Amino acid sequence: MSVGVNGSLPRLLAGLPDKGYLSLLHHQEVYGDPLPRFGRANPDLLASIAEAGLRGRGGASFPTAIKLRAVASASGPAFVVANGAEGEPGSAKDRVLLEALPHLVLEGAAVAADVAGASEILVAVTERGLAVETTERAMAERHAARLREAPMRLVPVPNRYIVGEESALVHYLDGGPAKPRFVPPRPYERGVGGRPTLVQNVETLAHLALVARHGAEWFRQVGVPEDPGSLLITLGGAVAHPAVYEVEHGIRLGELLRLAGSATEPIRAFLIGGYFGTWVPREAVDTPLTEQDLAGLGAALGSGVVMVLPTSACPVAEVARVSAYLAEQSARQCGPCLHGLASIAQAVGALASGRPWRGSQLQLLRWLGDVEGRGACHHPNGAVRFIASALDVFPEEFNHHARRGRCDRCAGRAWLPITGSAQPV
Amino acid sequence: MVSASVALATSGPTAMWYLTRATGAVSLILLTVSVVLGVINVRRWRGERWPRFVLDALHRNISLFALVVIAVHVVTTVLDGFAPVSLIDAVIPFHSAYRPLWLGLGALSFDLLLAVAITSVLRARVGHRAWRAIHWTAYGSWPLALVHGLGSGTDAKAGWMVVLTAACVLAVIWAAGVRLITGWPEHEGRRLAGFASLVIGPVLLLIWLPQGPFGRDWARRAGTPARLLAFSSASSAAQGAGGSARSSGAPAAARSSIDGPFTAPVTGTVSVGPTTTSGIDEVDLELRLRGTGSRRLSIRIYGPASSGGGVSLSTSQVTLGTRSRPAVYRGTVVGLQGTQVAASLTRSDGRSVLLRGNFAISPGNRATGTVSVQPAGGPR
Amino acid sequence: MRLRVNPITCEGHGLCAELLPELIRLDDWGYPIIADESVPPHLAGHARRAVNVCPTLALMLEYEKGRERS
Repeated sequence: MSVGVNGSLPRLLAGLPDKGYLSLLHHQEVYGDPLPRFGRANPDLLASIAEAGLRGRGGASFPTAIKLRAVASASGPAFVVANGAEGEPGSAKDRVLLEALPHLVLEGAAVAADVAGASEILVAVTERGLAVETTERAMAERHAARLREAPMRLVPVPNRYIVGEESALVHYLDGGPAKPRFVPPRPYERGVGGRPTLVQNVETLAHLALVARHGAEWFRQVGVPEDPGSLLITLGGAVAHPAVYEVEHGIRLGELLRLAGSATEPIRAFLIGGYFGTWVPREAVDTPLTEQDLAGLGAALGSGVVMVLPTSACPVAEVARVSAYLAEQSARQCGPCLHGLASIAQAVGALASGRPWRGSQLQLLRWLGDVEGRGACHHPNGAVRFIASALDVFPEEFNHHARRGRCDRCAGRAWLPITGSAQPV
Repeated sequence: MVSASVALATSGPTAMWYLTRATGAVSLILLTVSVVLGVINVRRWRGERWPRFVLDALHRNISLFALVVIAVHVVTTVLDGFAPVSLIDAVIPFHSAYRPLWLGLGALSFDLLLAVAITSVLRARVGHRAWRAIHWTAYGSWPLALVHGLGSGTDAKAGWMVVLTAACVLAVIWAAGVRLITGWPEHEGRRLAGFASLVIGPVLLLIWLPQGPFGRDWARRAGTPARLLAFSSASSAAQGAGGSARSSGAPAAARSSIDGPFTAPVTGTVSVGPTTTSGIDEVDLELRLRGTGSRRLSIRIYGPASSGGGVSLSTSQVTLGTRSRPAVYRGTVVGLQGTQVAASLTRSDGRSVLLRGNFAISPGNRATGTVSVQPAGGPR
Repeated sequence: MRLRVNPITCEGHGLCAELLPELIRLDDWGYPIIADESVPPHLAGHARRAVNVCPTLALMLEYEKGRERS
């Protein structure tokens, strides 16, 4: 099958093999012939990407064309970093792309390198599963095929939550620790080796490869006008087939569930955006997955992780466990994040386990407000949003725990994964 | 007639010497206070009426003040001139002619403090990381200053100084101990090393002090140049005699005119003043003895001026002989009191005599007086 | 004129909050919360003092263009 001009789904996952990865030859059969080389700041391509409305899929959702333009217009040779450092435990989309469809990512990276004027492409891959191996093989294939693309280098990265953060990744690639740096200057101004650096999520680069081929109009044939195109969602939790799905923007949450074989149990709530994201109550099942509609619930898609929490789970226990994980994954550079998240996790943990805790929910709320926005990166913000929305969506469970300690659902299975145990494809 | 003792009019060098010792002691106190304040600051202590920014400013200002006092300390040492130290020796360690090791430690300490001061003033340019790295060396500067004081300080043995030093050492041990106990959880190895040095350091000090500065003959062992030794101590005679060479093969026969016992009037000249480039005061009496034979007596005294207007004996050279052989007997001054001089002289074959003299100075640098010579050990 | 703190360099010494309590308060862990980033003119001198006193040079004053530190 090949990606049709009428632009139906699947697009990225059109060539998804049953097992193994798609070799260069098969990749070209499915997605098309090798792309020509573009010049730096090629105006037609830039205009096309801008018109397509492609936004970053790493979580920040920043317009890709703007980033590309900024790096392209900077002076001197640039770097392109393909960010496959998927630290979010519940996310598997980057891993799927790199394990099964590496050529899509590498092709997009090559296009980005052309337009940005990059002299080298760094592909950051989490050491998890087979992604490092397949990406290496794909690179070798492209090298042997003499595609005249910018030189590519694979950099395995440790599986930590914060490694995928833009400045932390650049810091790591520069030979330092995988810890965020104080911005400004942002990587697109001064990144790896002090040079302008374009950091893009691997899914974004995959979309870029297709936009370069088929154009903006094709890209907008699915999705909604404000949120065009398709995206990858990692759906996990109490559904029949937890997996990575390619859907179009605007699909309703309920429809997404049906794709996955529906829920296996009665649903209590959804987590949208992973541990950086927001809890929404099950009534939100009819919400279209667009930026605007989700914003109405105080949520955002982020890196495309959606989790379904059943009524049989104890939300307090789940939140407590993840809070402890998030606190532990702090880069420990900024006082408010290091101390604040630790105190908050301790408080939530005390609530969950029925341990006596001298504070009050008021103090917890105050801490959440104090910690937000006061780190060098957005890690504390994400944790705050995750916990604050939990307090919003699960007030009865939290109150019950505060008064009576552990509930009978606490001992059930853990639904929210931590330490990189993603759902299988 | 100016009948005084062998007088030296200047008071400069004396004041300088006291100033250098005083500023040395004061700078040790200031450095100790600075270390304690620094640790208090880092431990985030604040009092009711002592906000952090005040403690921070105190630490800064006291450190700068210490630097100024140390500068005075250096300058007064150089100006005093007793110890042959020049300005360059204050920054280039182990370079001086006077107690090079112990002085050099002070120079090293001073260098580190200068580095800290300069990087602190230029903190914004240098950046926090570099500033902090250099600031750590301040912890090394303090013990260097302490050992410098013990090794080259005049007052090291004095009671008040021992108490002061002990108080400063205890204060710094406490401060460093607090710093190590409460901080730095990630650096286990360094903390242990720090604790170890807090224990080993004082132990080493206690072992070293009795054999070192508090022991005998420290001035010579520490590297004081030979001609500055024998600082009005009773053992000076033995050291002086050891210092002068014994010529061998001198005629065994002694001229009875100088062998004594005799008493004779003397006349001659006295010259007074700095003869060396480092400004040591020297008194030089060249005298002729009246009576048989053209007997000659030469008395040279070196030393800094004493507070009473005389000269403190630190070293001396006395010769008694004839015009053709002026140094039949050689020796040193063993007593100097007002106008009275006593000297112990020895001949090459070992015979020694005791010389006593009483002198007066008259205008025109003329000296007159009386000397009497007795065989040593003989009845008066 | 805007106040900004570099949260990585900041170690929570708290001297800034002592010298500029109108704009800076400390959270439960001793780190500065800047209530309002823009500095009114009558506090400019105090803001400069606060920037100068920071032991880690974490507090910064920014103007329209560029950045000034102690």
